[in-house]
Amino acid sequence: MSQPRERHLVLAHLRDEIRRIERRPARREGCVPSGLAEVDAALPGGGFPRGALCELAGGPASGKTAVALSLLARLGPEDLSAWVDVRGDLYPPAAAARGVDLARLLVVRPGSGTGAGPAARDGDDAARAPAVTALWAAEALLASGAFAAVVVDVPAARLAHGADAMARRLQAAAEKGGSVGLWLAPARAALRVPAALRLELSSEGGRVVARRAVGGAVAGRAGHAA
Amino acid sequence: MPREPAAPRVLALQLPDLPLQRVLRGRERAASGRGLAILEDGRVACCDAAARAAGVRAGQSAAEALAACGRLETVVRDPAADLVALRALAEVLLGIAPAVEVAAPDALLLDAGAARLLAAGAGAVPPGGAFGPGEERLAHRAVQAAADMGYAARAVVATGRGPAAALARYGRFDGAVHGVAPGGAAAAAALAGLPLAALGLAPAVAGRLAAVGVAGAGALARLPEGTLAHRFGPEGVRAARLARGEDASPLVPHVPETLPQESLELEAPAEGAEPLLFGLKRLADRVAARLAGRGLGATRLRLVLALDPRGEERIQVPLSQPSASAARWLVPVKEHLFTLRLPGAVTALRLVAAEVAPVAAEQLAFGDRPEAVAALDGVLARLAVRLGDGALFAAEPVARYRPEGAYRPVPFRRPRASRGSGQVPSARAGRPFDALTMHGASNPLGVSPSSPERGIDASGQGEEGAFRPTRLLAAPEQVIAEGEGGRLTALRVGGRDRAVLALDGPERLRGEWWSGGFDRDYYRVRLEGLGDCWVYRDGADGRLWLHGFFD
Repeated sequence: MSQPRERHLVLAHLRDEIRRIERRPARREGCVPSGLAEVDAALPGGGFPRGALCELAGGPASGKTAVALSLLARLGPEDLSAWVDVRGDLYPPAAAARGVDLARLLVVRPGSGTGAGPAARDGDDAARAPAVTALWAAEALLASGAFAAVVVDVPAARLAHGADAMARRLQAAAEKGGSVGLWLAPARAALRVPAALRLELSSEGGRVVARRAVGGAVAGRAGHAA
Repeated sequence: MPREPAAPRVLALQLPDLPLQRVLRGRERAASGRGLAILEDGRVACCDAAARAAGVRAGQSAAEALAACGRLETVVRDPAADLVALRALAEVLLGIAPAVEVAAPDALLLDAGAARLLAAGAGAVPPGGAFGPGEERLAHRAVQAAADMGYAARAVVATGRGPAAALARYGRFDGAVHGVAPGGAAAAAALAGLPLAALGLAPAVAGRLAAVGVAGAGALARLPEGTLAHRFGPEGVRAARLARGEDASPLVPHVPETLPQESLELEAPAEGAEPLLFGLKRLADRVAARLAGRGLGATRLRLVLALDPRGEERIQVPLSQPSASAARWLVPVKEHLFTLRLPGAVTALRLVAAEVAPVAAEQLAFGDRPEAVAALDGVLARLAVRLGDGALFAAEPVARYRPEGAYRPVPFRRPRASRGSGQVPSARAGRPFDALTMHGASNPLGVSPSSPERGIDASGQGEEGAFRPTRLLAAPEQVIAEGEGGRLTALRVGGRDRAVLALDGPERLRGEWWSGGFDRDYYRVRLEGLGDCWVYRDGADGRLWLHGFFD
């Protein structure tokens, strides 16, 4: 009978070995702090874990965008980040004012593409439902390993059939690519993603308050092979 | 008296039977045993091995050639296409020589002066005869570059462009490269055995010289100049000087004007994407080599697939950064190709570098991960294929007062590493709104601001981030003000009253009279159940609009 602890180490070692053989980007470990004391204090590792999906839930002006932008501003100078922005209302000048390097932030707005690619032309389902396309794009971005952080803002109301299955794959994609995945959700979301961590935010008296952090057993994760 | 310029050291690269090579190169596979002849003025200019084996010879009339080989395929020579092919090869060679001259119809002349210096440095110039190691290496590299582009070539290094070109075209030597020691005398000795045609003389002049017993270049070199000028004019003098190895004329460098493109006809129409990959790789290698020779990288590629029986499919492939690496191109090109549903079989491919940019030599430092670059290219290509080009962008700040115009989308490119310089990227350092001025205005809502502590910033940061909302609605939403005794107490948003908890402002933004103009007073309003909102009063009609959230 194998010891759980040993099995975990062996699996981690084997995963690294596969990663090396497949020449995939190096695995990123640890946490990225958001730089906001109240938020970081509510997080188990003092920051958002790499290689995991975290959910930031809150109302329209709860401060979740500010938390996400603050995290992007704290990334390394060579790191790239991506923002899947289905509603198209992220305001990049505010991101720049918060210290985000706009040249390193890829904004993805499905549905705003001019001259959509050949795949979209022959009317597949994805081309008709921007939210499902956005989830697909988020999965691709998370899994690529090219981005240190990926923020996914897909309004739940617009989610179409099949979104549940796609959302479930985001966590596995974040783990594969080693990115910090942030899922921005409304306060009462119709769609739940299997995030490693869930943080409920609200703006009280102008300050962000992190209500609750659920989950956080990121370090002990042994399933979800990449 | 001005000094006579020294004759340059020149590498002449000659492509034997260029018209034939060009036609064969544009096909996926060499013609299968049928025999191919290039016709010029109704006569065979050159032919391939299969035709030669059947008895076809250069100089035969078309009828004679067809009589010798019934299945012979004939192609009329296209000098313009041959010149384009030469220029394409010149672009590649620009990567190894400072100047390249296109010497139509079938040769390129490279400036080999620097290679000679290299040889001198190595101190290994063999006495009397062959070239030095630097020149030999250059010659081998030139021949290899031609081979990579699909041409068999031979190279001669000699002093003077005329002698080098003549030796490359007419000289007999073993192997693909040959060197002649520096100096006119050595060149003259090497030229001595060549026919008069090698000196570029008109056939009539060569015929007259032959009639007086001057059969070769060596004999012509020995004739006194005065006599030649008298009997054969300046052409004769020029030929004699060339035969003596006296040619100090400088190279005429080729400056490429057009963007490179390469095409390939498939042997058989291809139904799917898989069979196209082999040909595509070859095209990508060739286009990349031409760009690399010019120090350029492609930022956008265009792949044109000719369809059977007619029509074509064009694929635009944006690249995340300027690159002249065929391997890097193939990742996104494949991505596009495999999502394509072709209406017909593909008969030919054409790859065009549609947009290019200078590419600085990239030095990989410790810690750089080429696989991460490949991963980025791959994912960007996948997204661009599925979402369309404009759906992916990086935002660039624009100095404008109108909030929705304060940024514009630009193509996302992998930023260059800023390692070691200690510089802070400008977007981090700069405050894009320094240009914005705030004008005081009388309070149009008739309420005294409840003076919330300045910087009720939802982010918890200082004032810097508090100027603009993090979310700006694409279409502002009209809201209705509800007041009591001149005080604003609530805003009706989406049919629901929301109590006003705090109010900050106004900030007046106006201008752009040349494009309709706008005049807005912006307030930061904290609403119950919503949080901090950005609301403006339109100066034109006094209506209130919700424009964003301080999320």
